[in-house]
Amino acid sequence: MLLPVRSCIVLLMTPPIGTSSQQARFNEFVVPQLDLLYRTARSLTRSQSDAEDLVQETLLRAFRAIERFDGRYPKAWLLTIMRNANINRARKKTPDLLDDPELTFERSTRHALTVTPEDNVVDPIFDSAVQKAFDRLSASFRNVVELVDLNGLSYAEAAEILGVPVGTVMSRLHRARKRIRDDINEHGLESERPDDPATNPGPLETQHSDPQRSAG
Amino acid sequence: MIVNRFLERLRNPSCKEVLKTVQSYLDGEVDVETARRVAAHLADCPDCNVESEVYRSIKTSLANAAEPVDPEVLAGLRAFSERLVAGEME
Repeated sequence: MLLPVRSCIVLLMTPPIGTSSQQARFNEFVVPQLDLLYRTARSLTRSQSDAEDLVQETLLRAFRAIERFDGRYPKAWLLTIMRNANINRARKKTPDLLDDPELTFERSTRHALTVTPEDNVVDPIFDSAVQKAFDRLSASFRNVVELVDLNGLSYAEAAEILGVPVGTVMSRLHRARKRIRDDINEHGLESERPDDPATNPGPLETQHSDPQRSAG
Repeated sequence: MIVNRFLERLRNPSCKEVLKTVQSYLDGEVDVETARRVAAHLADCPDCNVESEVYRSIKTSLANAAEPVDPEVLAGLRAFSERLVAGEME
């Protein structure tokens, strides 16, 4: 596997062989999070190769810092490292857009998600409607939905990677899901064959009650 | 009887409170006591239960849309970690 230049530079600053403590701590705290790190990196970069580079850079940084890590909240610690690595990465790529990591994040999430056939087994029509509504969300809303609902991050972890308060994550997430619901209600559950009543059961409220009802 | 109803209302959250909390509840982001109160309310209130199920369905659908991680990519990152730990990457 070829290493990106940046990773090689960081690597040159890394001790050639880790201490046994460093190795054990890395295996204990970092390796179990590889899946999460890659998913998050993919959300940040929207590119498989960039995501791999970002994870590798995060791993290198984590390896160098592992002996200073207190062992608490490894996911949050790693996400902070990844966030900083991504900011540096974006800074080097686009020096004119340095100062807003959130803007950098938003710019990187312009593509739609892909639903794989094997995932789409329960209710393909409803899933399709949710997907379309998701695609119609603004970038800042999609980011937080993707981190929490697709990647499984907690509010605090999503806040860490976005560099915003937890309350902001919660507010955006809840509003985003409400928009998805309202969007489905507005557009209905559209099928590939709109004339076929069997595959076009109509708007969401026919299946999921009236979302506009007032609170009791 | 009236006093009991009053005390019950104090103990149990209103629909308005539940609707403000239900998404955090579904995300597992509320404390144990709040989760217990919301769950009790949802069990007794069909309208709020429908609301909860709508959000649960949306969450499930979004989770289903998560693209799985390519096992080869994960294996590559695992191998990278192993080489890093072994000091083989000079």
